[in-house]
Parts: sequence; C-alpha cells; structure tokens
Amino acid sequence: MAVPVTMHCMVPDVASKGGSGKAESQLRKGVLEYCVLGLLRTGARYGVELLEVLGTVNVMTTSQGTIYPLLARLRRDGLVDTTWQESPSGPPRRYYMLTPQGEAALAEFTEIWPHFRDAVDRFITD
Amino acid sequence: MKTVEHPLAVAYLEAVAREAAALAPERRNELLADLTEHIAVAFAERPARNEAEVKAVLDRLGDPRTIVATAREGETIVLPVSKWHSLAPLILLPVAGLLGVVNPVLGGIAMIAGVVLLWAAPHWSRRDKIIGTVATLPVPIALAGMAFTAATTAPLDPGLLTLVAPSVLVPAAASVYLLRAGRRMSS
Repeated sequence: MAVPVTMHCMVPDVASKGGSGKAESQLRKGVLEYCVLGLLRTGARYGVELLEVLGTVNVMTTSQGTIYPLLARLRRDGLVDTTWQESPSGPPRRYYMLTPQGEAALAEFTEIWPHFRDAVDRFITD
Repeated sequence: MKTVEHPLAVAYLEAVAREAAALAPERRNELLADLTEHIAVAFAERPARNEAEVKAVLDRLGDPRTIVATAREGETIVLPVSKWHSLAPLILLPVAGLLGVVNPVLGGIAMIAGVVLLWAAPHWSRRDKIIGTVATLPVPIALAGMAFTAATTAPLDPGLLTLVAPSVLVPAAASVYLLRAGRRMSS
C-alpha cells in the first residue's frame, strides 16, 4: 500500500488536543482497517506480526493496542476470520485471515482509493 | 486466556480492565484476552525479559485509556439495561387490560407504569416506543368501558369481551415486536 514514509518517530496521539497530529489521526482512523485487510491479502497473520509490519511505516500505529479493538470489529463484521495455531516458541497465536466479505471490502477500497487520493491531491496542490 | 506473570504486565492489564469497565462485558473480555495474548506472544518472541524490555512492550501497546477509547468508538452505544426493565413494560402492557377486568384502577396503574417504563428504556428507538404506546390505546378504552359497564351490567357480559380482547391482544402483539426490536438494538 502506497503510504508515504515519514521520518519522524512514534507520533504521540494528540488528536484530542487538536494539534498537529489531528489530520494524521483522522486519516489513520479511516484507512487503518483497509491496511490491515491489505496485509492479510497474501495470507494469514497473527496480531504481533501485523503490528510489526504496520510499525514499519510510522503513520499507521501510534498505540499498538488500538489495533485489537479494530481487529475485534473486523471479526464481528465478518471481514476476517481467525484460527489458533501452535507456535514452536511461546503460546499459540491467533491468526487472522480474510473472509470473502473481507476480500470484497478490500477490493472496493482498492478501487476507490486512487480516485480518492488523486482528488485530495488536486485540491491541496496547485 | 494466556497467563502473563510479570508484575508490570499484570498491572498494565489491570489498568486496561479498570478503564474498560464501561464496555459491554464480552467486549471487555475480548479486549483483555487480545491484549494478554499480545503481551504473551511479544514476550515469547523476545525472550530476554528484563524490566526495560517488558516496559518497552507495554509502552508500544500504549495508554490503556486510548485503547479503551478506540474500543468504545467501535461499539454501538450499549447502555446497561436491567433484564427487569426490559421485560417489565412488555408484561405490564398486555396484563393491564386483564387486570382491568378485576379492577379498572389497578389496570390503569399497570398501563401507566408500563408506558412510563417503555419510554424510560434506552434500548428501544423512538419509533418502537410510539408503536408500543399506540398499541396500548385499546387498554384505556377497555378500562373506561369496564368502569362504565361494571356499574350497570353483570361482570361477565359478553359485550365486555369485545373490549377486553383487543386490550390484551394488541399490546401482546406489540410486546412480541418490542422484544425483538430491543434485542436487535442491543446486539
């Protein structure tokens, strides 16, 4: 997913204070779930693994824990399914995978996103 | 749920549990189970467990308040409704007409209590409440009819049945509808 990698470190969540992180926080709220669905496109992943990948771009997670309510909602909405798998090290992992519904939601987003991105670019650049 | 033993992690999960008190119980348990699993897995993947590393895992997870706030955003507002409150109007409204046969005043009290509880309950929409209230209309008609006929005719007048039947059946049908509507709203 084409996400600009910014050079700053962990961004404190200042959305509630209406500071410089507000735009970022609101954008993240809108697109994070599709990034998660996008990450599951190539196969099942478990929570910590998802967060590691999301953490490679600084804009996508500030507080890692907030991904879990999101994953729970995706589960409830039937966009992802989960299975437990044993691991050679430590406890079993809960793997998340796309359901056909999740694939459809991702396909829809993938279709809309370039138009959306271009439209925003048009308005905010000369 | 996997066990997490480190005191810092335990304290962190307790803080989450405290913040999550406002969530519906199953959402709270789900969140705690997910975070517990995360911590257990994160510890397992970086086995050297000094305090700084434990702290780093917890810091990355973030402020319990932020996490719970995110969980609340995704939650359709589920206000705690006692079972009693959600059932009482559904029982009172159909029973009001029957009670009226015995005593119109008692029937009237049951009807008013039923309507008040119906409107006070948070888990029905305005539309559902109006449906429930309109369905109660045969009750005061029946009560008035009974109060009137009780003075003039025998209590088991067949004419009375035509008044009592709709005052029980119509609210009963509405109760069945409201029971389903209430479940839909709170799920």
